[in-house]
Amino acid sequence: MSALFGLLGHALLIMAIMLKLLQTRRWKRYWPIPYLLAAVVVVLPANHWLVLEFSRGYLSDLSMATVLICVTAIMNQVRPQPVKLSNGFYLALLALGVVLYPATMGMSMNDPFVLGYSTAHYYWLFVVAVVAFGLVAWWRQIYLLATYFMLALLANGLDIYSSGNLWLYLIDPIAMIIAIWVLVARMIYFCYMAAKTKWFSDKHEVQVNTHA
Amino acid sequence: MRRLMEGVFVTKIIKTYVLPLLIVAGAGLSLWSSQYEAPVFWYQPVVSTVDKPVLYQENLIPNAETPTMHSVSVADCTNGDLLAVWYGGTREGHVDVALYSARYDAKNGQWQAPKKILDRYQVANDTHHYIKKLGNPVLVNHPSGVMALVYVSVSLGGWATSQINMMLSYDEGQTWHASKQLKVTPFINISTLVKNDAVIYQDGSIGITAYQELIGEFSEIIRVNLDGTVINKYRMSDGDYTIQPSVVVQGPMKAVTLMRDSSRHTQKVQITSTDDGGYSWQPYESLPIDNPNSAIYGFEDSQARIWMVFNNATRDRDVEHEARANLALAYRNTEHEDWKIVHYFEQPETQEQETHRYSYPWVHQSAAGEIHLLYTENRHQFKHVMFNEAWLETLL
Repeated sequence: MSALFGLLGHALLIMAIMLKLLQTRRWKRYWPIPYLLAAVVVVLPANHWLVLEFSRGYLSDLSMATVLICVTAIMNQVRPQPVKLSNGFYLALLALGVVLYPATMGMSMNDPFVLGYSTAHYYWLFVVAVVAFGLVAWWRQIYLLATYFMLALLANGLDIYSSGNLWLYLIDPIAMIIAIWVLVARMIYFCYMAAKTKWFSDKHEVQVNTHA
Repeated sequence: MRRLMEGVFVTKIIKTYVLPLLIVAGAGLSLWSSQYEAPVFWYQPVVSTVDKPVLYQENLIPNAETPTMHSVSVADCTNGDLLAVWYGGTREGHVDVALYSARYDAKNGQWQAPKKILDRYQVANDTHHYIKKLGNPVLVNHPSGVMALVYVSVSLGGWATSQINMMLSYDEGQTWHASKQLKVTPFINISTLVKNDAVIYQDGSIGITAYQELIGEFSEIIRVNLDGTVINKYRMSDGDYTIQPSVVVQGPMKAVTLMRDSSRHTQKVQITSTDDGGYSWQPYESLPIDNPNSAIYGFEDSQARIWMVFNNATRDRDVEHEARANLALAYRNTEHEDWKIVHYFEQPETQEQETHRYSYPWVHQSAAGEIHLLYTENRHQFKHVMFNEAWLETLL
């Protein structure tokens, strides 16, 4: 059963990448064709394995963060108004990654990854913290962030990957890389727009002064 | 328009009422999981054979017709036979590497012909992952009679990006059930390897003695149940060149771990200990015993002395092969006494012998009290030395 969910996650990942590469929005009323092509690539056999199994072999099972990013990316290809994941969502991923990865790879004797096992001393506190973040996100009406925490908690509760660790449902390196990429891109865009606005307002001011 | 209004209404209901309920439900399910007791080692005092006749025999495991073979692991069968598992193939890390097993017939004192038990295609079939190569296997004798085989596989990159898998046998290694990949790190589940024997806990869970070597090089115990679900992890050292832990259990709460020094600086055997069933470990220390970044194996005798099999050398880049040209045996009486080297299983006497390499020792203490040492010779065959405590006494 865990393999089924694991493979399903990678099917979504490959679909999202393929649809992006195929520029699905440009196909307009022929949009089912790129979806069909992407679905074929997912189950394409290559040297004893499916593309799907290669992906799972290289990247292991995907966290709910990556699954949510992939689902929104797939849906956005046909939605008139794309759903935009908030900065809060990506900042949450970044914060989780910064807390988890350095220490867990041997920076110190403290291993925060252990907190995700149900036998850990403060596991309940970790679960309560995730619930609190989820409820705060819901209360602040950041629904996709709340959905992310909900998916991670449900997947962990049902242990769909047979991994037994809440961290594995919360974050993976792919989600972390996407979060860094998106946040940097948005920051550059914000700075560019701010500079552009300032340049136009300065120019307008100069023109007003000249006329005066 | 009506349909659109209905859709908006349903979405609003989900966002307002269903979403928070599902968050709380997820929390409930997460907290409602199997509980395990704090770790307590399953400890059986070593059977004394001090009063028995001195036993010392040497044997060879026949080659499985593979150019190289390495990393042998051994477990007991109920009739006194031994089961050995190792990996063999064209060379270490080659795609044709497979796991092989052989049985030692205790009655006639002979190893039977090896047979292939697992290759990368079989692992891929079982786990639904692409598998590039296979590595170190570790056999585990579970008190319930089940035999577990934990082994390394790689999908991406080299050994530093390894993953570990587990499979079970209910007929002492004659047939094996499907493998399961263990989820043990958050970093695309890579960087975990195994080499030495596991420990067993009193609740039946297994403590796999593992190590990481991607960024930090450190040792840890990965506690799993027989379903292959990881219950917890206990770190034995931090990321500082201490790998391939060999845990010597000395009581329900007490154990000592000897670790291979993977640095180019210290080149000494590293040691740490626990007094709480392996939940926490003392800061590790260097022993005044050389270690050329090679595997070590520790075991205890009936008088609570700790013995260690290792290569007694330091590593020199120019003559690296010489670092594994000997295989020594050392012991210490108590925690406060120094280690003494008392025997060499292999020691080069001629220039030709200096090119021989002896590595990856594995020690198995049978239920009858016999001690079986197996190690790789030149990556072409395994030597099997069988001795007992009476023989060890002659060395003191």
